[in-house]
Amino acid sequence: MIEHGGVAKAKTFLEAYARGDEQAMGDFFTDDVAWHVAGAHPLSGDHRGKDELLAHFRQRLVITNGTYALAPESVMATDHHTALFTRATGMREGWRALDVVLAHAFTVRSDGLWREYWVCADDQDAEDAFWS
Amino acid sequence: MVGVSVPVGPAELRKQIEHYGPVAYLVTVSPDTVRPHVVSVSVRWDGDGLVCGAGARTAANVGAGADVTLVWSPTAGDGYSLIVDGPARVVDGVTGPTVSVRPVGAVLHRLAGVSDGPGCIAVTTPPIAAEEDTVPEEHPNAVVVRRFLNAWFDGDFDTWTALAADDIVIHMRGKPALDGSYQGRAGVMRFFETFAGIDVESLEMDVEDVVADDRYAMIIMRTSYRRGDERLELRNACAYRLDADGRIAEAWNVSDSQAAEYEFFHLDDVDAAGLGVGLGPP
Repeated sequence: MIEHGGVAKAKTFLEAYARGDEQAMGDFFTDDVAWHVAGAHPLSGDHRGKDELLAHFRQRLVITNGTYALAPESVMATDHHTALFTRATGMREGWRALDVVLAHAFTVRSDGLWREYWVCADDQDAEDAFWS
Repeated sequence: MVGVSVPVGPAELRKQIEHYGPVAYLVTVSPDTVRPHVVSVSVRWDGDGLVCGAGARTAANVGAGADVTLVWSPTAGDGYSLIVDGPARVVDGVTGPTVSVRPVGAVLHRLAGVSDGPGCIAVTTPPIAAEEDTVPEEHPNAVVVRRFLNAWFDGDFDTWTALAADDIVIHMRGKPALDGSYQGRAGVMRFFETFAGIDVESLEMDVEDVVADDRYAMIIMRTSYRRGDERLELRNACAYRLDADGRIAEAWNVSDSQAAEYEFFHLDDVDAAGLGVGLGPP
């Protein structure tokens, strides 16, 4: 079965994310990307703009002293959407640990850039407690 | 591509629909905008008519009098879709409006050139398996989550639970009455009962995309809630984890605007910051 081009693209994004390469990550999104982070923690809510999104990604690393990581569980794509399932792990001071599965959804613009982004955890209570 | 379409009797059509299963797309046309409106539905026979659930927009389009089309995606390697046309009417059902379609035409259809077979054949001829076909099939788990969503939408508890793992976990956040995780068959029953108490007059959904692999699936969809003159339009990403048997083990989702949900569901008395994933389909 031929892999959809969006799958390879998403895997490249995850590699950039693992390196913390903000410039490379930014190349995947439209400038006015709308993004929605589920939950009831300081990082959750509805937001807009690539710069803020990259700052959001950065913040997750800062809070966790660089331990926050996304391990891909599943990468799927169509011409219009991309879906990622990742295991998100990290550690904060006080031995607070995170281990949840995140579902990420991306809406793909006609030029291939991601213009909308959602993310939510399977165990939202654990996600909320970790980031709060 | 030359099509061959002949009127068929109910017996042949019943056989084909049994083969394709209950999940189909219902295509209606808005008389105002002349734009097609497509929704995923669960279809069943009622006498000589085909009945499926209907949201507000679908019901309005059907009420305007135009014929409708039901489309079943290919289920086998032959790549044939089943397309059924006919006049329709809106009927009030127990759980909301339904659409009753009187089939007057049906064909099995596929792209020309994908095999040696014809592009369009009368439904009286059963699909012919063709190993050389290259039309990609939808992953079986995509079919499962579509059916799961449609069963929920139609209030078809039996189908819904049949598609769920015995220890299924549903995570719901966004409304106090629904907040929490629901586990197992008893949990699913409690979820259904609680959901029935939500103060919403109608809920319509439009599936935009379904992706799936052996372990996970996601549905991207638009949802539209109505209560009197109030309306809430959302886009949801519904996530599913499936077990080795292809049954849904876990379900959760997020909408594109938690704030709008809080407002619609009148959660003024609740600390919105204490709420998480929005109310939406499991």
